[in-house]
Amino acid sequence: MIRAKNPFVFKTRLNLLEITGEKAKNLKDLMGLTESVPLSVVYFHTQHLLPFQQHLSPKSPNDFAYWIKKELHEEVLSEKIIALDLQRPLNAHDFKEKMIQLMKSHLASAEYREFNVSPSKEFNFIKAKAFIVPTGHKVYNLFEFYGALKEVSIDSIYLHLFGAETFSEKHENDFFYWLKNELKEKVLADSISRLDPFVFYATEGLRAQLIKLVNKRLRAIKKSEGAS
Amino acid sequence: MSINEYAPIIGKGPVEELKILAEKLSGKIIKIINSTQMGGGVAEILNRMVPLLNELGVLTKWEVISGNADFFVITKKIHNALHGTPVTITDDEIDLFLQNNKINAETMDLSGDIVFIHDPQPLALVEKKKEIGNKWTWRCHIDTHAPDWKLWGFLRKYVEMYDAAVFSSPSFAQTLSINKFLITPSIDPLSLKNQELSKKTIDSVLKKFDIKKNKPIITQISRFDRLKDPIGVIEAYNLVKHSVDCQLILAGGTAIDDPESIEVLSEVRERVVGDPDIHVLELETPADIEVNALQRASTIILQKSIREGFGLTVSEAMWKGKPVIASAVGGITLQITHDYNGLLTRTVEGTAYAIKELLCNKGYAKRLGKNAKEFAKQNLLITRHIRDYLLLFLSLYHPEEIVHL
Repeated sequence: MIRAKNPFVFKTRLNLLEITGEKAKNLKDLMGLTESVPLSVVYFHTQHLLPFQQHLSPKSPNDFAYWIKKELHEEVLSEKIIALDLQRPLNAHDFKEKMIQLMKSHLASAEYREFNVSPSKEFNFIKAKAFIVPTGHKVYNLFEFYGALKEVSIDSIYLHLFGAETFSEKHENDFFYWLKNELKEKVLADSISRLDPFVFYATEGLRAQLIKLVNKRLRAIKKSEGAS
Repeated sequence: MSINEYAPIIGKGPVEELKILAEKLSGKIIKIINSTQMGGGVAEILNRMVPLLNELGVLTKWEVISGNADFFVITKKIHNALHGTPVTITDDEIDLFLQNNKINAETMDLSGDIVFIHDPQPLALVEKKKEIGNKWTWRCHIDTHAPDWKLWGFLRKYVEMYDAAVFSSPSFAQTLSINKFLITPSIDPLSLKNQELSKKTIDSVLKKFDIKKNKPIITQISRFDRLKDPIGVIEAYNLVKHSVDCQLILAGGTAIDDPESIEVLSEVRERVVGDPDIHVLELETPADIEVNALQRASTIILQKSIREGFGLTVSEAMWKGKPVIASAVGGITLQITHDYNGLLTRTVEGTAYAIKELLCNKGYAKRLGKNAKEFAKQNLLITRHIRDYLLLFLSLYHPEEIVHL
C-alpha cells in the first residue's frame, strides 16, 4: 500500500452565523443586496441547507430560490436559480454572478410584477463566519484514510469534498487532489469527485457512499497484494 | 454527565470538535450573568451548559443578579414591552432598574475575560466595562421584532456598549452598531427532562396527578404567563371537545423573576371549573421527570404562545417524537416547518382544527412526530449550542471573516 509523502490532514469548517441586518422585501432589493453583500453571505444562503437540514425531503439548497418561489411566487426564476446547481462545481463568485444575471433578466422581462412581502416574510441576509479547525486526524495511506472517514464529523467531509468551491478558484476537491497526487489513486479520486452533494440529501448517506468507494478499492488492493 | 456521553447521539466527530474548540479558549475565563438560577428556559439551559463548558476546559462561572420584588416587577414589564405588549414604564421605574444594576455592578465580581449577560435584567451592568476592560456579549432570548420603541431606544444605548449581541432569530435583531450573531437555544437530550423514561415511570406520574389514559391527551407545558395564552388553549380544547373526546393538561411552574404567574394561574383555574377532563398542574420547580413523563404520555403537544423567543417546550416535544401544534410566532417558525415536522397555527379556531386533524389522522400525526425528532437531533441539541457559544467567544478575538485555528 502506497504511503503518502504528505499526509492528509482532516480539517473541519464550523460556521458562526452573523445577522447582517440587510433585508429584502422584493426582487429588486434581493438583487441589489446580493450584489453588495460579501461572498460569505452568498455561501451561507446557497449551501447551508445541506448540512443544516439534511433530513428534510429533497428541496432546493438555495435560500434565494426558495424565498423567490415561496414568498414572491416567481416560480420560473426560482427554477432557473435552482438549476444553477447543475453547473457545479462553481466557485462562490461565479455562482453569485450567474444568479444576479438571472435576477436582472427576470426584472427586465414582461412577466415580472413588483410585489412587496410583509415585514415578517422579508429575506434576511445571514453571513457565515467560518472557522477552519484541524480535527486531529492525519493519515498517510488509504487504510488510515478509510478509518478517519468513519470518525470525522460530516462537516469535515463536506468541507473537503465541496468546500474548495467557495474558498478558491480551484475546482478540485481536497480528497481528489490528495488521492490522485499522493496515493496515485486516480480512478478512486475520479469516483469521489463525481459525488454530488445534491443527490445525498441525508449527508450521512454521503459518508456511507464515500466509505463504500474506499472500501471497495481497499479490497481490490488486498486481493492484488495477496495474488502477488 | 460527561461530554463523551453525547457521542452515541451526535457522533464521535462532533464531540471531538467541541474539545478542539474548547482547547483554543484555554486560559480564558467566562462569566455568565442572568437573573434567576431556577425556573424558565434560560436558567434551564445554563444549568446544563455551565458544567459541560467547565468539563471541556473552558473555565465558566455563573452568577445571578439580586433584586427585590419591585425590581422584578419592572423587569417583567420590560420583558413584556420588548415582546411588544403595551406597558407603561415610569421614569421612577427606569431609575429603580438602573439603580439596581448599579448596586449589582458594585457588589458582583465582574472579572473574567468574557462577560456573557443574558436578557435585559442585568443589561446595564455593562457600564462597568470601561473600568474593567474585558469583552462583553449580550444574549437576548426575547422576540424583539416589534418592541416598545421608546423603551428599546433607551436600552439600545446599553446594548451598543457590548462587543456583540446574540439573537435567536434574524427578525429579532434591531439595527445595532455592534456585531449580531444568530444562535438558537437548545435542549439537553440527557437531562432528566428529556432522557428516555420507562413505562412504569410515566404511569406513576400520571397516577400521581390522577390522569387516566382512557382518552387522548392534549398538553401544553409552560409557565403560567399571558404570553403563553393558556386561556386560548382552553378555548381551543373546548371547540374540539364537542366532536372528539379528549383531555387537556396545562402544566407549569413559576419563576422568581416572574411575579405575574400566580395571577395567571388563578385565572386559569377559574376557567376550568366543572370540567374533570382539564388538569391544571402547578409543578414545583424543578419537575423534570414529571414534565418528561407528561410529554411522553401526550398524544399532541401544544405551544399556543402569543410571543415566543424560542419554544424550548416545542424542542422537548419534538425530541420525544411528538406531533406539535404551535403558534407561528417568534423563534417557533425556525423550529417548525408547517406540515413537515409539526403544524403552525395563528388562532384559537386554527389550533382547534389542527388538534382535531391530528386526533383523527394517527398516521399523519406519527409522521410529523418522526420528522420532528430528526430535526431536533440535527439542530436543537445542547452540543450544537455549546459549539456556537465556543465560536462566539472565539470570534471576539478573531475579527476576520475566515478564521484558521
